[in-house]
Amino acid sequence: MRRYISMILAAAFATVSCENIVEEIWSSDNEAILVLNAQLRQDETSHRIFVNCSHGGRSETIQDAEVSVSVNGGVPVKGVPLAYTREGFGGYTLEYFDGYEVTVSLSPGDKVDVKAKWNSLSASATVEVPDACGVISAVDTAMVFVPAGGEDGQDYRSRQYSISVQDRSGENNYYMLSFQETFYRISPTGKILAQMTNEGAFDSSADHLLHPMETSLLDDILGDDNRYNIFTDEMFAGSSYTLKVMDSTYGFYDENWTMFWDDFQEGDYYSMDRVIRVYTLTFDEYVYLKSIIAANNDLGFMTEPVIYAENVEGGLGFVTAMTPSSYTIKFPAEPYEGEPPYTAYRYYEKII
Amino acid sequence: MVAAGAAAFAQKITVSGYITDAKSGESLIGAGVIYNNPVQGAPLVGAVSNNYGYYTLSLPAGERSVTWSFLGYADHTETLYLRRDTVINVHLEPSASIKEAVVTARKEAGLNSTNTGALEVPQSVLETMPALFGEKDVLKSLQFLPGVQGGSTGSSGIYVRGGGPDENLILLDDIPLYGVNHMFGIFSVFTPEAVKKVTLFKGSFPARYGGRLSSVIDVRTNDGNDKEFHGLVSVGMLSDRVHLEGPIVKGTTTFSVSGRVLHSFLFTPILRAFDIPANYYFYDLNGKIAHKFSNGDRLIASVYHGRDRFLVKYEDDYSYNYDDYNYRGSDSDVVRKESTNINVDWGNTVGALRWNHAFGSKLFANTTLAYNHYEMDVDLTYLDYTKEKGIETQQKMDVTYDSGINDIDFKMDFDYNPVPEHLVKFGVEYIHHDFRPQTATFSEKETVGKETMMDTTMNMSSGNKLIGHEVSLYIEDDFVIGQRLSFNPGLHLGYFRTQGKNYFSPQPRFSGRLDIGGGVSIKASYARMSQYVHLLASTDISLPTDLWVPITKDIKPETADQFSLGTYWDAGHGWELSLEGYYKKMNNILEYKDGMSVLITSSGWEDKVAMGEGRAYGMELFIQKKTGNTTGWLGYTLAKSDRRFPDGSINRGEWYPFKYDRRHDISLVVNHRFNDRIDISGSWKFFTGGVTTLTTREFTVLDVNNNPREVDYVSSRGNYRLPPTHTLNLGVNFHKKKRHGERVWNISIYNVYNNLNPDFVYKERAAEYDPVTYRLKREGVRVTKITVLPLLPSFSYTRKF
Repeated sequence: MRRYISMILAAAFATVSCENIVEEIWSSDNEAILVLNAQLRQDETSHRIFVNCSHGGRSETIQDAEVSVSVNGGVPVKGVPLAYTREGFGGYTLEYFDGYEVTVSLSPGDKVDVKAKWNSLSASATVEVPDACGVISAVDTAMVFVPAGGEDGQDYRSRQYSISVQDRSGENNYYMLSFQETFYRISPTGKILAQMTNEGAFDSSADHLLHPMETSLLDDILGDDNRYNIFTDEMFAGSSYTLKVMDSTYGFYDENWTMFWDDFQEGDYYSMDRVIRVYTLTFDEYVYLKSIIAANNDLGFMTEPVIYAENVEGGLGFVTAMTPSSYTIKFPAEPYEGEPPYTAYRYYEKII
Repeated sequence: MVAAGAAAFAQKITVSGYITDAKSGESLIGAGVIYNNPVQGAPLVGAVSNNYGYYTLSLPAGERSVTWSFLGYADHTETLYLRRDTVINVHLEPSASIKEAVVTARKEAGLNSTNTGALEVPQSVLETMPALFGEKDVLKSLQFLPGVQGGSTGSSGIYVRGGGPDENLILLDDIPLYGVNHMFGIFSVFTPEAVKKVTLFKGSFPARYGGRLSSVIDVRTNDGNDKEFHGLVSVGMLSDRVHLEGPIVKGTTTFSVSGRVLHSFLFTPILRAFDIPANYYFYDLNGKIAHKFSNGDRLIASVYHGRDRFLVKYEDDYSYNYDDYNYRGSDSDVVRKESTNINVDWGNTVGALRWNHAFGSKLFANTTLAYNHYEMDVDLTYLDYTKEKGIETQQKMDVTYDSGINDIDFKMDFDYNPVPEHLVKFGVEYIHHDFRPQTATFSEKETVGKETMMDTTMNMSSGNKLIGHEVSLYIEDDFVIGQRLSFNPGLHLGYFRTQGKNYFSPQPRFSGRLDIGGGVSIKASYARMSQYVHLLASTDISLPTDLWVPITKDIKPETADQFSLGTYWDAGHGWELSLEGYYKKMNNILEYKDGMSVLITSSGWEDKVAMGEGRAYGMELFIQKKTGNTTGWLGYTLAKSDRRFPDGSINRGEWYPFKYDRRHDISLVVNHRFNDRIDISGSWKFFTGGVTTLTTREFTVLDVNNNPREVDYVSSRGNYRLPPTHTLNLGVNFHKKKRHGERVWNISIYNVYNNLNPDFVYKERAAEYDPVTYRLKREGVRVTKITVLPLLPSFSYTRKF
């Protein structure tokens, strides 16, 4: 009896996995449409515009589009395609395309029109350059140990900062924290012989505003983090807030590094500074960056798909402008007592 | 003399007592008591027994005719000569024919209730509806009521009036339950034999209920037969059930015990047939002891315990010999064995002690002390053992993952009947919540010979306890004005304290009913509800990893304001019709942000959810036949439900359809009793498909460092509507009287015309190539549906004694 019932049940379950195609939606049926993307930074004069064409199931880079930018209805400035080649491994020539460079100066309150045309397709976006946040100040507070933070599981030193942000009152504001680190090689006479600038990355996991809940190791593994350090003024509207972050220098290498190191002469010394920036974002940009972070965490069928902010007329994509308030921390010529000398290498120095 | 007579008439006498089943002594909830006033057109004076079968009715002194009635029981009428307050316990005789009970005021649910959207699921319907796998299910039967939707076909998920699955307050004898599903949602935890009454509130909520936004499902269980022993044994295709009840001391102390267990001995071969080295089973135990100290005092102790257990065991032996790599078991040159054990265990334990006390004849009190425990444990052990040249190497990994909730609940509820026109209910409740959303540890140990090479234990989660203090006070007054008007205003005051933050939530409630004659009435209601706990679930099906978490200092309580308006018609001969409309506005509702999931880890969950708003509105038509040999109903719901998250983290901050937004929902339930031996039943359900989100093209985005990246483009959340689901189920019951009791064969066919419903869907990239050139012709997205439950016959055998 038991066997008989089991057979019936097994037969029932065997028919259970009835799979049927509900519908096939072919991307090739999608019409071609331009994708226009740009992040204009008020403190820079050189901006990049990216143009793609989404058709079928693909989005392809367009290198021969007509791109222009005009500020406050002024004369449009044409974008210059940045195509170049570089020799790769095995002697192969690699082709790169870095978008279209447009050189314009921007001020808070400017209305910026970005347009792209390619064949019969066109797309455009208009954005307003936001105001900067209030004054920011930053201090380097301590050299701290970061336990087991390195890629090889060793402890490292890291520098901790307190960064105070003054919010503009009477409006909802959205911010992004970033920093740039510059190393200088200076001659005994004080002349800067070489310098190297990198976009740094803060470790902000200890700050409540940037990471409202304590994150676990699993969260880190799953990449659920606020990697762009974006935040709102919801918790300190109209007043100030002090962020506590550490510089995170893992992966701090670039192609210039070796040259920089090899030039070292007896008597030269190093110096450095940190430019802390708090960018004011538009709400849409804030949402957009959250989407980019979310896309990195995508677990496929277990998560809802990411939907990106858009503001492009006649196409897809997102064009935005952001304005920084900045503060430069200049480190003294001699390191603080007990700290290692100013070399980028020290960040990789294991604590023994 | 005339004045004295008038004074005597004006003097109010209170009649109170318990209404019980004459055969079993089981208290009858919602039984009516009515004063048969000989004066034509005089106001209706009546009462209804409460959840413990207790009633109280004030009448003028003198000779009065009173009728006690209950659906499915013969009326009992007595002429009383009232001089002072008196206790009359009434035992109603079950009636073979299901006839309509005498119309009474103050019904909790149904046409004559003041409440909108309050429905009872008759036990007779529950017993006769076609059953999947031969298993009657309380929650699945609710899915056939208008305004109530299920999740995927066959699951017992409940979605009421555009609300989510965690917005239903499911009470088992007044105690809120957290995990209410077995077997990933196919069965609910309620053993049908233990259930006495199920009431659903989805429109107006009496002030005594609180804590969820969308519905209250009030499940009451049997106290036990106080006259003789009875029992039931039922064998279905997947589970066995047993129920025993009887007197411990006749007339004063009773017991009721029910149990259900999945046949793992049948289920395991099925898993084996699919080459799954696993075992799964669940069980439920319900127990209750009720003791009557006196007419005014009863003590009831009850316990529920239910568990699901899923076990997986893999073992591999890679032993081999040096020369020929052949396996020679433990005699091999290299002995290498691997084993993996996974044990997932989850369930509820609820214990409650209740004391009913009547303070005189007008005030009835119920005091409850309850403990509610829900836990889920996962234990994974991996062992890799090698023996080579006499040296033993062992690597062992252990991963444990636990979550749980402990609630201690103390409540006092009072029913006060000062005058016939007013029934005042008031009370207080305190719940101490102890949430342990997640504790996870990982340990690894490696030994070579006697030397330990590695011994590491890592705590992989926050492991924080979250304590919540929930206090609620309520008062409601169900009062009648004349013969046509009745109101139920009330106030529920909620307070929740967690992480040093206090949340106060005054929740006004109101419902009113106007009888406009000819059996037609109009009802209107308003209810504000607050919710302090949420279910974090990553998928549509009920998984043990779904986590209940409380509000926090950053996550505010969810609130809902619901307005309902309806018209109701008692057409006579057991026919009832209602048409009800509702509008529900929800605030601070939670949803996972785009790209977020709490899979594996709950820590930082506040960061992964967005708080937003929701709105749901619709119309529900309900035509019911309650009496006679043919009973059943037709329900139709026209509804819309959508969500918006202004912070932009979902769907760019724009409105989008809720996952379970279903425009049309039709339910038809018919039961027909041919005679004492055969009854048949059929149910048909149709509903518009839910929504899912599809990506149809690729486009490019930029990160902050101006790095372009190709990603999927999604126009909006919920941009694709799935095809509708419709299922016809049929069942037949064959009854046969035996010397001791009765046996019942139930044969059910689920999904009779084998409609391939989209129970689950998945999306994948599709490509089509030219058969000659093999070049890509086109590519896109393929949406595939999986039908979990096609045509499925089942049977069960039940022996009652």
